[in-house]
Amino acid sequence: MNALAYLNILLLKNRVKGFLKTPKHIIPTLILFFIFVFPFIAVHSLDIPQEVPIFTAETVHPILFSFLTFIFWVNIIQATTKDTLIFSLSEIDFLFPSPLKRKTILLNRILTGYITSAIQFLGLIGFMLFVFSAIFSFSLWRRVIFMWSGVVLALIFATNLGGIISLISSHLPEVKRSRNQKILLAIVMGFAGILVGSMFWYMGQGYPLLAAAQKVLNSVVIRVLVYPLAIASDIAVAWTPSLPLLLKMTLLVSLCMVTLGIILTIEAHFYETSEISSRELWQSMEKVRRQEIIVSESFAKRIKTIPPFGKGATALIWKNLTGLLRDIRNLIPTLLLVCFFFIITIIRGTQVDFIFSLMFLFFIVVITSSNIRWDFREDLRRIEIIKLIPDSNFKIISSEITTPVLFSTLVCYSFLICNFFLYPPSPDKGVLTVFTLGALPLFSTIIVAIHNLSVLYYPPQTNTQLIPSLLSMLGMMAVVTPSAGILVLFYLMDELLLGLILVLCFAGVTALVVMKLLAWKYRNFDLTIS
Amino acid sequence: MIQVRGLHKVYKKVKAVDDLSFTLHDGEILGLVGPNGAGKTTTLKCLCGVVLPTDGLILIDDYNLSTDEQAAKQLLAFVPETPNPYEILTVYEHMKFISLLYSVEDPDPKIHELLTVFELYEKRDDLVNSLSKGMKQKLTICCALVHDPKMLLLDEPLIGIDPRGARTLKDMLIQRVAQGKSVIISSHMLYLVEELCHSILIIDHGRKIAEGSLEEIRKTALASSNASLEEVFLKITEEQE
Repeated sequence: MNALAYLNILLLKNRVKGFLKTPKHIIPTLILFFIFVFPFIAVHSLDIPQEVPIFTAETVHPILFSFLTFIFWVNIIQATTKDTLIFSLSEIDFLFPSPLKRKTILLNRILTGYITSAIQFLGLIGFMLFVFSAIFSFSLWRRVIFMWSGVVLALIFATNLGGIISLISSHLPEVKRSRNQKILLAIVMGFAGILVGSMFWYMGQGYPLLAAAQKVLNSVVIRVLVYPLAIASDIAVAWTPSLPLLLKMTLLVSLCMVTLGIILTIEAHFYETSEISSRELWQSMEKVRRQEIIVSESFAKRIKTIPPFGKGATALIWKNLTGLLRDIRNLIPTLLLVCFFFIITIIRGTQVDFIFSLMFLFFIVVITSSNIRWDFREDLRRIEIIKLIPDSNFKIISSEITTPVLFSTLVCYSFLICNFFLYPPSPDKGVLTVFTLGALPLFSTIIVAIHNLSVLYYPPQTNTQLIPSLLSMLGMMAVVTPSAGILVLFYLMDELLLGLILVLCFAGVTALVVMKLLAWKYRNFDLTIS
Repeated sequence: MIQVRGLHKVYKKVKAVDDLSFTLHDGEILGLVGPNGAGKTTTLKCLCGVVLPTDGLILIDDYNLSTDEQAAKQLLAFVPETPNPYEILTVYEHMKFISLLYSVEDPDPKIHELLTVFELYEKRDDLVNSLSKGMKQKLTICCALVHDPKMLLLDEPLIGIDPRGARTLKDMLIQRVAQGKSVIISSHMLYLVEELCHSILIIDHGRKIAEGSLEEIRKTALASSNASLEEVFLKITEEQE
């Protein structure tokens, strides 16, 4: 049997077997599947009047065309400086020194890449269209096949072109590669300039912004400039086979095959550049997967240091605060997101009751508490340090959650102050503000503690990041939903104060229980089990 | 026999290997030593065809590595410093896959023998990701030996291996050399190089600074006749600085 065929079959078989053998992976996946799919199956099966589709082929086409063009250019520009032919570390260590031909190894990588992308996009497009087909009445499978074919063929074409550039550049000196990238960037800027210029021209003719964008993306000039992507978009939004469509598909398939042929005819020793890019990529992916904190040294040096404080476990607060400050740039997206939501609520109007502004604040507490760095997860990788701290487990986990709770509370308090002044006076405003001041840190504590609890079940050594996030999301919903329910119920009963006290007590008790549970789980945490 | 002539490797502006020439005869073990960043790993990677030399000639038993790549590689095996075996394969499957790569006829008896010798037989049906670091290193060594290569290139082969495993590997290397096969060991463990190697190549900043048997290197360094390799190495590299 061919060695690579043997390898690919075994890798697939063992991955499936490994997944099916691990309940820790199966159960959350099934839960997630039912959470997402059940509502849509229910909508499908109910005899309810269907909505008129808001998206038509004419509106989807420019969106898809822009997406494919963007991916295409990113791929091409990347290929000029970095090798886009990425191999696994095992392939580098065992296939590269083997007597297999370079082209065989390359073809194997390219074909497995095609298959992986095809499967991933089938799942993604299938799910997306399934959701839309549940809401709007249209036949699913035909659209899935067309959209999937168009997108996958366009991506294969872009990947192949990137591969060609990579292979040609692989033996070029650094100076030439950098010059090539500048030339390509100039081409892309020229392309973007044509797009923007045409949009302004149409807007000058009286078209609104979106209509102008749509007009430009559907124009002959733009279509000709990136014709393969334009026909890929045509295929993607079609759902009835026709002769012109068949011709377009044939052309795109031919382009993919020709570019693949070119890749295989280029005589290049790509091992070295591929090894460098692959190792860099795997290392950075490993850091992201482990949620390892990557701090820029030059930035850290510019940040004011916090003098060490704390005794025993409380020293962890100092360590986490220092980390937070040095890593503050990574929190900018979260803060921008929060500001965006804040602006949206302000635009929607501040003439509503103050109680509605609290919903925004509780939404913010969820976002800020969930997106902060997972110091606890990071510390579990140094379990031999934190397990030896001569302090109680409760104090250790309390110290671990202090920094995220502090950050989240500070952000929420600043928005609470803004809301207090922006919203008009009302009889409940004072009591609601006092309630919010107390409830926000409690909810943040619950959310962070649930996050950390899920991390103890899926520590970094298990190499699983998605499942703890999902579990903590479910745990969070289990706490937030009854609180919101109580509040709404008592608000409707005109017993708001009682409702607020109940929610506050519920949050306080839950926070304590979750923290006790976290301390207990931490005490029994044995890394070797994972 | 491995012949290296005028090997150069330049990364951007850094000369990793600078005009390196040496010959390794059949039935010999060559120790490649040098400070960190001296160019040892790059040299080994050039020899196994993973890194393309900027200039120079590499002959593996008269096969030119740049023109007869497949034939040359069939004679070689390389054990990297930090191996990354396929985690999702079992130990046996991994060995079987490597046998297929090198077209080994009826590999099962050889696989059985190697796994037994390196005490991995009990683990043959376990996934590689369940192995300890040392076991992964042993597995990589077994993979390198399964096609019985004529030349073996080892980069820090003993890191993480238990004393029994280390002894087994050393015995196996000695046995292979007696059969006329050759080995290159790159290591900072100078006692290992001193114990096993027939000739030693000391490099620094990519350049050869000494070559020959320990006796010859002692003479080059003007060291006493009973000086250890460690003493000789420190003396030579200090002089270079």
